[in-house]
Amino acid sequence: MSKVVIFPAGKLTQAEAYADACNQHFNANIEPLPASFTYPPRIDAFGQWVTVYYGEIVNGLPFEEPAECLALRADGVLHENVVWPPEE
Amino acid sequence: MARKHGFCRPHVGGMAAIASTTIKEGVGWTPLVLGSDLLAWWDAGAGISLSGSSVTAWADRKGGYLAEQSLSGSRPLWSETSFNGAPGVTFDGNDDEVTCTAAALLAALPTGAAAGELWLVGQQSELAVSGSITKIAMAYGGADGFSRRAIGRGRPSTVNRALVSVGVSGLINTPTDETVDFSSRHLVRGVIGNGATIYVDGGPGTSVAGASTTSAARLRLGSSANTAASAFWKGLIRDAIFTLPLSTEKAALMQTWGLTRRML
Repeated sequence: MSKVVIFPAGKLTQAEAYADACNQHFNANIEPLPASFTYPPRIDAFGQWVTVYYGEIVNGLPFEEPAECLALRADGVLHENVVWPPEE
Repeated sequence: MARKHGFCRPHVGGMAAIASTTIKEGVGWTPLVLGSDLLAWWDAGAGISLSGSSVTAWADRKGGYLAEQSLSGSRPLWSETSFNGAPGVTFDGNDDEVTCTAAALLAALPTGAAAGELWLVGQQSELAVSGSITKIAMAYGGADGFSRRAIGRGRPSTVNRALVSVGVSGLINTPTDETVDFSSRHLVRGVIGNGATIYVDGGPGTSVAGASTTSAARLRLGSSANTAASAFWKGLIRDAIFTLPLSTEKAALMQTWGLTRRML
């Protein structure tokens, strides 16, 4: 199951940089475009920015987090679950 | 480069097409026997394409309609034994879903107030203590919940419950079963059209009046069918089936078959 990285509300730029780096690494090393690893950061129920954690498990297989991606999630926190806003 | 391979189990058993007056249950009965009443059947034991253990695409057994996911982090997982020893597709409840936009299927799905049915053989894994938020296993619809037909999980009081979610003239009706603790593996049937009724594990139905006003822009397994996926399912799907309205006889056959698929 995918964990997520949650960035504070004011850290969209940092969240986007992390997501972009994950996608670039994924395309270069695992699957090419049009596949991607994660979606652009999404807002959770608390106004924070959420993206998928690029580590531990990728495509259901054990995966070692790239050092460059680890560095880019310094402002985020790993979580098991997301609370999304109510859909209606 | 990802190692991708298709996985497709041969269809086991099954029966040749039979006139509706002579349908008989027997060894190897499957929803394919429903003939033209069956619109789509996603079976976790067939049609799965993988990258590692993640589902990149899932082809249904009726028309080969593909439900797909190009985002690796949003792919559900497949296992040959995860559904209590049977094949299952596991959704993480965060962002996993697969989407089908096959034009031929979307054109065939009942919309507006036209009658149709949704059937789910699934495992609901969200804990009741996690909260009351809706989690949707299967759905088709338009931009938002006001135009969808779906089967999912709710928690109206303290216990997990199965629900059907139906758009009705700018509102959402949610007939909710109050007889079964909707945790672990169950069979859910939603009959939708001029009103909506939910049945869980062959039990008595719960109905809500109101003609549906739904559409079919997309179909999703593991989340809502809204333009932006939401209400992500936490649990497994073994079978997701979409049909036209079934006769009493056919529904009974489906129910008997579905109850055995729960792997209790």
